[in-house]
Amino acid sequence: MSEIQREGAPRKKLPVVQTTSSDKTVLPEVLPDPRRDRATSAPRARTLAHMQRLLALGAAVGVASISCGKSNVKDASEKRGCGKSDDGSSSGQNASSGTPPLPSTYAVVDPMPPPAHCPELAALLEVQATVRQADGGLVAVVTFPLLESRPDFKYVGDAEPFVMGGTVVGTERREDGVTVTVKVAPALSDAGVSTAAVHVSVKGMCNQGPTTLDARLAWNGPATAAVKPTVSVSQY
Amino acid sequence: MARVALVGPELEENLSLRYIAASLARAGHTADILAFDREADFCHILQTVLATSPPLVGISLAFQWRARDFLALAVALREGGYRGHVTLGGHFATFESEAILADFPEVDSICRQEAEETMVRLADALERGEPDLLGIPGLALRSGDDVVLTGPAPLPDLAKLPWPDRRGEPARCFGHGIAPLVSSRGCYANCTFCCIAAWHEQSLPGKRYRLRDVDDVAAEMVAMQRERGVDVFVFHDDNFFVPGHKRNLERFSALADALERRGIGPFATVVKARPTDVDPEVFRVLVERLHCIRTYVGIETDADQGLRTLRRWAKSKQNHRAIETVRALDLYTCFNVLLFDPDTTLESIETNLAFMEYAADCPFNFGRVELYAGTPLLARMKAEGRCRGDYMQWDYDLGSPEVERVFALAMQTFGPRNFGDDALANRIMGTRFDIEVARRFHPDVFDPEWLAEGKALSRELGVDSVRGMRRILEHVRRDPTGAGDLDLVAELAPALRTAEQEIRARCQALARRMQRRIGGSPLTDVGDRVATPLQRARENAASFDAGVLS
Repeated sequence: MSEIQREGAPRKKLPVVQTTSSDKTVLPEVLPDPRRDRATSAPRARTLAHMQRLLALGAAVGVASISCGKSNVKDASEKRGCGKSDDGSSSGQNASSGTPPLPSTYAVVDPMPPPAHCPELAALLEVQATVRQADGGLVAVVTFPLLESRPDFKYVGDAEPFVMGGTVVGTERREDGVTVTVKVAPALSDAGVSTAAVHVSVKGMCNQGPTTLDARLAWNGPATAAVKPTVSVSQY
Repeated sequence: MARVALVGPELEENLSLRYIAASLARAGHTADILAFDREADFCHILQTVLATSPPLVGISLAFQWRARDFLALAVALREGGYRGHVTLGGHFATFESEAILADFPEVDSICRQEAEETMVRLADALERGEPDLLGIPGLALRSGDDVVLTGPAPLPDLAKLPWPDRRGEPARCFGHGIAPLVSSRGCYANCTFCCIAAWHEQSLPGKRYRLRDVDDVAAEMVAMQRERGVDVFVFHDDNFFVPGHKRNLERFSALADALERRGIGPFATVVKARPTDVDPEVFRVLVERLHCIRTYVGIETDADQGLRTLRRWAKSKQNHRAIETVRALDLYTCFNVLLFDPDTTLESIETNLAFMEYAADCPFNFGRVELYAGTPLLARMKAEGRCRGDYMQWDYDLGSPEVERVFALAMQTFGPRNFGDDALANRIMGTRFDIEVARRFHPDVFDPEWLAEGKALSRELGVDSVRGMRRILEHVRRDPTGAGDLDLVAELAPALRTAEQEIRARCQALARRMQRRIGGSPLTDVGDRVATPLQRARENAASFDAGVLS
């Protein structure tokens, strides 16, 4: 028996490390960047905002329109080419250059996603959401309206919505806004879920450039049609 | 058998996750290791965990500056419908377990301290469907509205732990495999900015470090060389050294003897040392018998004020002696300087700049002391009411407005060099590493000019940094109003970028020269790694059009 498998550890073929890059390196003794992340909000709020940015980044590099519901991941991966490539290797790339940065660069120079344009839109927008029980499970209908006060703002017609916690059933684009119908991931309705949430993001354009609006439907417990979810809107 | 997903950084082989993976395997469980190195990994990991739905996800939260990334992952897993157990581990998670559990209901538990046995017991309990985890020592978890710390877990016996899981390919430099390992855990010192002493004091009061038997370390190194082609062993011990030169001499000689007995092939080591550890006799053994090709010397500060504030247990003359010793041995050495700490004065900055200039043949970087969880310095700053922020990220004002201005100007001008994307102060350490690998393993083609050029490049960058910082100091003294700050930044920053551009290009040219003679890839980014043949053709065409094609 190999010495590396001492103490009775079973010798077996181990799965390789899963990563978007197999590059390994030798790290210097990296000093922290003191400028990073001057806190302006509570730890949880900052983390949630950061999560939305990370999800948006996933959308930007090709993991778009995935549903993170368990039952849908496989199909979504195959459809969008995320996860494994044809040769079985990992397919993701560094969004900015394809070259893995040293950790000193991580979250310091942050090229993706692009800065929010017209950041005041999120506060102006009143996204409507209804949830109903259908034959196939829970369905959420989320409507992003246009703003009379902001004629420069419009939704981008050919961009697919980005959804987390469900799958897109349909998208209707009208003169007065966009409505996205989402089948909520069944796992979110299981008893014991502490905070079920569905994110629906749509792309738009304002006089400063492109922007993304994200509506978060959250339940204080499992997702259900009996309880109206709290809707919050953020922008990135 | 439970399937466990272990998530953490993997730019180097992550020994904390890999030790746990090996322990889980020995207990009959299966562990996947999911690397979260960059933001683009986030969705990939999310999908993988949701698709495989393991009953236990272990997330490494060792680095405070990555806390948001990993906590965001825990939240996203829940929002995506993951129903298994989410546990965290590592230094930051351990020290801040109560705050994290209060803020993040998505997290079920935190494995405190060294977690090999705790993770195994957790996987066992979840596999058996045990609802009550309070009987597992070493955990922090919720009980009703309270956060409960179960009893301390027994520390893993380093002699009995399985060696780390070594799946995957190692890093390589000119074809030579590189792998990290540890020969000990803990550190005998107690610097105020470091949480290692507090970590080990919590788990093993009165004894801050434990050593592996050198024969066991040698066996692991030889096995890695034979099974994985690893020639360069990077010791990531909290402190590779024990107190007392005689003991170090005995330990390193014994390790060299054990390696020889086991018939190890050509190899090299990389270590870290405190300045007080750098003894000529000990380091001669390190260089001649353990073939050390690089040492990081924790200078941190050369100012008497800084040495006191940081509780370095060292004097300036010991810093200088350490540099003289490694120079005499011609041993590649690098270091960092914590130029800004809560008590820094303009005079202590001057002292440290003088040291940086004196030792500029060694690559170095400089920055500010950060207030990490669990450190004595954080406790002091809290007691003095000088902290701003929260447990995720503390900030503070430096000791005087003048020093604060120097710091602000330094960040505005030196950010890209010290911390930015592809920071040259870090990258140049890779170039020096390339040279030493060439010198050690390819003496037949090694050109001494490479070493001379590497030292010259280090010195040029270092002296340029010192020059820039002295300009900032002089400016702050001459212009107390701050009216000219913007002009200074506008003038100094481009000059620094120009110097970096030139030095980086010479590093890349040097790496290419070595690559042509040796083959394989250097650690220095040679600049064309991501260019496709089409892109290169376009670049050549553009150069031709511009009349600069050589």
